[in-house]
Amino acid sequence: MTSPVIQICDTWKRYGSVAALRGISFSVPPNSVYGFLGPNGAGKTTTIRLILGLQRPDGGTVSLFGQPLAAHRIAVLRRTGSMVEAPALYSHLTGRENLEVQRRMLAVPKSNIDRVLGMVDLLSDAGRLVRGYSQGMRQRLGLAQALLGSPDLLVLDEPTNGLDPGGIHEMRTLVRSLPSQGVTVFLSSHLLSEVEQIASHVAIVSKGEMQFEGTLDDLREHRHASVVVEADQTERACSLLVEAGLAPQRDGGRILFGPNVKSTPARINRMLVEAGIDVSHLSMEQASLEDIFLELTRA
Amino acid sequence: MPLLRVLWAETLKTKRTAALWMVFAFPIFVSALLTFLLWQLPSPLLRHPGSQWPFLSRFILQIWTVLVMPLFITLATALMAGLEHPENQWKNLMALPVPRWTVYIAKLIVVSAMVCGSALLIAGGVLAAGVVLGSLDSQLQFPSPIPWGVVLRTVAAATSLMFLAVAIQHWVSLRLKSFTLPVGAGIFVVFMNFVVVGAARGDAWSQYYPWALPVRALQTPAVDVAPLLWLSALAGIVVTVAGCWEFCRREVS
Repeated sequence: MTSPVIQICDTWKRYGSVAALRGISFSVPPNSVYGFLGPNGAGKTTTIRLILGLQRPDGGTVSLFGQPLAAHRIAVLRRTGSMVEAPALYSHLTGRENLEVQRRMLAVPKSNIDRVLGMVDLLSDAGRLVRGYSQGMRQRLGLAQALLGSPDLLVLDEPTNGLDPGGIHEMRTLVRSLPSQGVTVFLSSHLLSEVEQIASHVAIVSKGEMQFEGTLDDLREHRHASVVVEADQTERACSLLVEAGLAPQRDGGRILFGPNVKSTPARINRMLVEAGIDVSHLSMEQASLEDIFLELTRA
Repeated sequence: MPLLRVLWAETLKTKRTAALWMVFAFPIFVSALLTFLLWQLPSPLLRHPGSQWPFLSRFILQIWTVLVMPLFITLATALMAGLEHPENQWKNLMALPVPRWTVYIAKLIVVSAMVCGSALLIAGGVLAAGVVLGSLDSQLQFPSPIPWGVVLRTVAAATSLMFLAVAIQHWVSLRLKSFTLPVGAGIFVVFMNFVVVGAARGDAWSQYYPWALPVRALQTPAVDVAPLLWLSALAGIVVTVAGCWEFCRREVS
């Protein structure tokens, strides 16, 4: 079995008395697109800062490529490209010069600059000063910076922030293509819809704690159906169902049953009809991934 | 070698920056202004027949070391650190596979090179001022040969004595995200310099004020600056090591 590209074990991070991360653990398999999801303030950016060695954990370990980050910072960062929050660019330099600054530090061939500029479709604008770039262009240049060193691991924090729909589509296409080139992508987002389209694996974090980790299929298995009933004499119907040991909830003219309803729609229907209550609507509603995400992050 | 790689990258960052312009603008402006002043009010120069060069170099270099160079250092360090602070480039810079100390030292070398460059230009400015004044006014002839050695030695000593101030200001600028705070502190120390330089004649301690050290290279009668050079170098190294240690341990938010 191949070792994980990122492995975080029981990691804690505190800012004063506030615990931003409370013993989170997860591992990112190689050649995957790993979506790290959570609402704002969940601890996503803090986790990324720990992965990149920008901050030190107060407890637990962070390992990249099987090596503890604390002891092998330079070696593991040599194989890592990153873009944390907004891209960090020098606006008085051109796009190409920004990449040249980074290229000199990474000591990679000059040809890498044109390669990554081509990948993010910025070749024609590379000679312009960055202060004249749009938000989307800056985001793409940030991604080019992250790709410049031909990394084995790409860490992206909210990479589609500020991109228009076209830019988001391009970013998705690019990120999706990277695992086939041997690049593992770790990306954070607060949008499940975004991660759903590109990630092979998902972790959900909320209030500094892991709520879920697995593949997207694993997450889909968390989906559950609830039953919705519309009937006349709603109040009587509810009383009847309570007597039958079920736990209906009234929502205006509708009666809802949660995912753990101890009955089938057919039995509920029979029960009501036999009691002389007309049922005008009966359906099973499948929870969307978004519902699961909200449920997990509200927990 | 990582330090050279980072240094190479840092030099590119100075392109089109105000800090780089200052290297040329400050000495050219100061020497032009003082040349104009001496042309309009030549009496102090005329009072030193036969020793115009020493007077001219001391006059320009005193203004330079007491007022302009500390201000230059303040602005240069703040502007260079300001390249990283506004968009928090630190999070990108510190996630690169280079030792953190190389970033700190490379930036210090770039700022020091700027200080040296401007000092070299002010030395040229002294010599140009003598030539220009002589050609503008027949009374202001500089009969003796151009004292290249003396001027360059004085500038080199005064600039080397500034190392401690550069090291302090560099640390402060990298530590504080605000641009105004280090600049404000720099302006305060320039103001203090006037007070200290005035007091230095009688006060044993004030002569060791970091920003006042370079003035000692211009003192008449000449003093032995070798111990002061050691002091500036050693104290500068201590400040650099302390700043570098703090910089390497700093968490990037």
